[in-house]
Amino acid sequence: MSKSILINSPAPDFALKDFNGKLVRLSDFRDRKNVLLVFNRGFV
Amino acid sequence: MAQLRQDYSKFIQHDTEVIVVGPESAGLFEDYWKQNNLPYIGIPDPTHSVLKRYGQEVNLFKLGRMPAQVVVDRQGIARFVHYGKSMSDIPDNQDLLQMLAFINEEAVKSLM
Repeated sequence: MSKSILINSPAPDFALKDFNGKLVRLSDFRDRKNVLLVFNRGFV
Repeated sequence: MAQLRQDYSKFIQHDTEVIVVGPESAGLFEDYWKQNNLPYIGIPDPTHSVLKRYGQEVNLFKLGRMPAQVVVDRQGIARFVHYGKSMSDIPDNQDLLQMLAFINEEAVKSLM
């Protein structure tokens, strides 16, 4: 069973490579930018 | 996805990066991004590690993953969370931009 994220709670950090192979960490945006995370419903 | 692309510059104006995470492979992401000239970050998550961590729901009856959106502020706090109940249950970009404007105003006030 997966867990939902609660409003006003810390968003879990993650580190994954984008499709170009560049490592993206959510925490890299800390103190710099807001982030809109979109969990895709599948584009194929 | 097309709607996001159309409004991407507005998200940038609101000091917000858009990151799309999906279960497809890096190759499929690359093809789709190139075909559609998408400007935002695309992260393939074929092992579903982040998708599960963020609780993206899979609707077995509708045969697919339900869309979900999370707005994370500069402090790393989830300020808006939306789990779609159907494939088309996606918040309007205008609503997301309004929320981001509010978050930005709040951040400015906290510095005063």
